[in-house]
Order: sequence, then C-alpha cells, then structure tokens
Amino acid sequence: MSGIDIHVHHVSRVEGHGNIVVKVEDNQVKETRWEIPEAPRFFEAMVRGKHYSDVVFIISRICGICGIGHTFSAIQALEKALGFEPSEQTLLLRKLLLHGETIQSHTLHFGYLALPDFFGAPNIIPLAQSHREQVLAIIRLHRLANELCDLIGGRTTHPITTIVGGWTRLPTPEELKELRRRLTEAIADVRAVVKLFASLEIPDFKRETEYIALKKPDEYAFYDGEIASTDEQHTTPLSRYQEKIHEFIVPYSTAKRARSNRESYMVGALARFNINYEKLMPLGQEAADMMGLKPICYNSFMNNIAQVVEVAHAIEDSIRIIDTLLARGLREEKVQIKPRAGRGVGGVEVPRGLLIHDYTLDEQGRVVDSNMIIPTNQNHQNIEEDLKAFLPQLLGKSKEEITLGLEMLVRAYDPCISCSTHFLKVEWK
Amino acid sequence: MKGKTLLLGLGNDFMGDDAVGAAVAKIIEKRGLPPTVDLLEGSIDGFTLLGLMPKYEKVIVVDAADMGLEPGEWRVFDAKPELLGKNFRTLTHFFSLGEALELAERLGLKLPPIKIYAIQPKFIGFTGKLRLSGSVAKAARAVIASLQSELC
Repeated sequence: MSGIDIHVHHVSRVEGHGNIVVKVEDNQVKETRWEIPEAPRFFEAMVRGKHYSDVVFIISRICGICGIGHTFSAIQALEKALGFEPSEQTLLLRKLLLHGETIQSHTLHFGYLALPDFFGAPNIIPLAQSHREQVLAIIRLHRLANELCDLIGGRTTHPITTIVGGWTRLPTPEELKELRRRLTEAIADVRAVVKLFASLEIPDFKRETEYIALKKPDEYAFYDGEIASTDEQHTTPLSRYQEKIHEFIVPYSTAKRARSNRESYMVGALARFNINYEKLMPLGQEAADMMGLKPICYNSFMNNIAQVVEVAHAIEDSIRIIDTLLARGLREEKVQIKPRAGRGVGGVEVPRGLLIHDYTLDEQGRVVDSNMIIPTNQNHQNIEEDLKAFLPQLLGKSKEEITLGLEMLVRAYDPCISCSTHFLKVEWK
Repeated sequence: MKGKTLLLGLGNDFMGDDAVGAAVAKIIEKRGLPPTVDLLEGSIDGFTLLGLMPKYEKVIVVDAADMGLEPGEWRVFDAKPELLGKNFRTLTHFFSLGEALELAERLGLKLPPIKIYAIQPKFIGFTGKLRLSGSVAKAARAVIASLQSELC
C-alpha cells in the first residue's frame, strides 16, 4: 500500500455531520483532517430578546441527548444573573436528573454504538446471541435512565419540570423509593457490563494532551464546580472561562474549535475521570479497577471505559441523593424572583464534557447577549490531533482496518449520536 | 404510563411526509382518547421503544413507510422484523423500529402485539414545518377515522 486516500463521508439529516479525510503517499501521511460541515444553528441569537423564563425551554432543543444538561447550564447562568440562590433540595434533584441523562447517554453510546466495534459487528444485533445477558443488562440500564428522567424531569428528554428557581413538580416519596429500588437492582447490571468491558481489547494508543473538566472539593463534579486542567494546579472560576477556553476556526470546518494550554484539549468522561478520580463513589472506583483504568490515562479509546465507570458512579450517587432527599423530606418551595439586569455564567458536565452557558439580561430579565461553549466543539481539534497521531500506527494494514481504526477513535469521543451511527458509511476514492 | 394500549405517532414535523405519523397522533390527541390509551408522538428511537413497549398489552404504530405503493396508499399489518426491514422510518440516527424488533426477537424478549398503520409518503425532505403532500394528508384523515373507531 503506497498511496491511499480515505474519505469517510458522513451525511446526516439533522445534526452531527463529520468527515475523516486522509491522504497517504509512498507510505507517508500527507494529510489528516477532521471536517465538520454542520450549518450554524443560531441559538445564541435566537434567545436574544427572550424572557429568562422562556430561555431554558428553547436552548434545551440544542441537543436531543443533552437537553437536560443544556437546561441546567442555562438555569445556573440565569440564576446567577438574577442573583438567585437555589435551595439544597433543588440542587439535589437537579443532580439526580443530570445523573439520569449521563446514564442514558453513556449507556446508549458504549452499549449500543461503540460495543459492536470490538466484536467486528455492524450493530448490536449479532451480540444478542453471543452476549445475551450483557445486552439485556444494557437495555435495562438504558430503560432505567429514561424512567429516571421521566420521573424527575417530566419526560425523557427536554425536561418540563425544571425552571429558573426550582421545580414545577416534585416526585413523591413513594416514587423516589421505587426509583431507589430500581437503581439498587441495577448495580448487578452495572457489574455485568463492567465485566464485559474489562474483557475487551482496547486499542493500544497514547498521546499526551490536556484534559479539562469541572472540579469540586467535595464531589465528582457534574452539576457545578470550577474549571480544572491536568496542565494546571489551580482551578478557574466559571465566570472567567474566556481566559481558559480559546475558540478558533479552521478553513475546512464550519464548527468552532478550542484550545487552552496546548494545541488542543479533551473534555468528556475521560477528562472528568482524569481530574476527579479520587471523588468517585466506591462502585465507580471498583469499575475503574476492574477495567484497568487509572489516572492520568492518555488513551482516548479509554473514554468508552470512563463512560462505564461514570455510569457505575452515577447509579450509586443517585441512590445516595435519593436517601438524602427522603431523609430531609420533600417540600414544595415557593420562590420569588425579581428580574434585574446582570450577567451569569453556568457550567455543567454533560456526557460529552464541559458545557458553558453565558447570559446577560436587561432590567426586565430579557436576554441581551449570550454565548455557549459546546463540548463536542472543544474536542474537534483534539480528535484531529489524535487522528494524526494514530494513523501512522495503522499504516500497513488494509483499507478496511485503517478506516475502522480511525472511525473507532472518533467514536470513542462520543461526538454525537448521529456521528457515531453514520461513520459506518465509507467512501473510497 | 397509565393505559394498556400505546399509540405511537412517529415522524419529524420538519421532514415533509415523514411527519404523517406524528400529525395523525396530534389530531387524535386533540379529539380525545380513552384513558386506557397512552399516546406518544415525534421521533422516538427503537432503543427507547424497546424499553417502552413491553409495558403495554397492545401497541399501535402510525408511520410513513416506503412500501413501493402509490403516495397516500396505506396498509395495516402486524409488525414483524422481516416485514419492516432496517429502513422502516422511525428516526434518522438511532435504531429503527425494525431493528429493535429484530433485537427483541433474538433476545427472546416478549413484546405485545404491535399493529402498524403504514402510509406511503410522496416527499421526504426538509420542509422546515409540518407540510404533508395532498395524497398523504388525505390518507392521514382516513387513518384517523380508522384509529378512532378502533380505539374510542
């Protein structure tokens, strides 16, 4: 194989278009590009002039998977702009609902979309016979996460119970107890999935990069925290995110990219794991140990493993949150928010990484300016740098093996559901 | 979940005749359904359906399907993976309903009887708003009448 062009062209009708372009001449890599041809969606402009109470329901629609995370990032920012402090009950319920989204999204990705790669299968269907019990465990975990989101958020995605200030509906103690029972049962399913992933052969790849995630002194940060980097000892308040995250564009891609201390950085499950490992719940630590994941891990393929670890953590932490809520008792909270001018920055760890919303309000509480930093955009440059580093390892293999290897690397980032499913369409030129 | 029957109207409002299942469900919901029927409409992936369907005694799906018929022709049949294939229109990115049924069959999962109201689309592509072709809108009205006599 002296010359080869690979163009993994991915067409999607709604969102998440991405292409891998590779040129090799005389066994030398001449070009490696990660192209995003997505059209801008203008959500930042769309919310201008809108009242803060409407914003959360509009921006939830940015993502069909991370609608809950977008909602919370926006709510956090808007509450800060309005000078409102949410109650402990509200924060606990938000953390619980965010765990639901994390479990749902991660299970969908590692279970349905990434797992078949490790068995050379086009999708999960062939695994139904060879790994029946594990596939059933994945289906049960996915269903449980959807039901958690239904119960707390009012529906599976795009929650309707979450508003600036608190909740429009609280779960009953009986509903929480039933959810707790289901979560406890799910621990066996988590262990079955961990055992399966511990048996997989993860591609041997290492490229040192920077990892960025939220960090808190007392918990594995998902809902809030300060910006932390594996390249720094200190953390940065969210309000100063523009000092840390430097966005840029490249001519062959319509999506923004980002860098911080190096040419690129990674956000997502592996970044969170690398930064917050010590704050994992025991089940998460057990899962990491069983699958051989240790911080700092520089293998992007291990992002799938970090997702499994986070599901284990989120299941156990959800039980802890429910216990806390039941012990303190649920009560309706009346909140009054007086509109005022101000600016607030919110940050949440969604399944694919750090998500930031930034709003400036006028005296009537209407948005005059907004900015959003999306996880997948932060990962684009790191994906490309990884592709450049990984491709030489693959030279000498067949076209099909090279293509699959590159696709698996991109898929490991879980850039978005549509990307993951459509990378399987390959065009050779 | 409150009812015993799940009525699923599948489709994307912005994608021409792909929306027909969702449009049917929206109209039926406005006209009222008995409390034994739960209704869901929109783009729902096969994975989610796999978790949802076993909770019901009966599932009825309304969706656009390319059956090689004239636009607006519609058929009612019992769901089987080999009948639906992998391209039965449910959602762009996820598993289709056909694939979900195939997975369920291979896993030996017990699903309730699933009846499909399938409508042949004329145009599927971005329209930006709910806009059905004339023949498909006419079929939608007939399907609504049939569903109402079946459910109400």
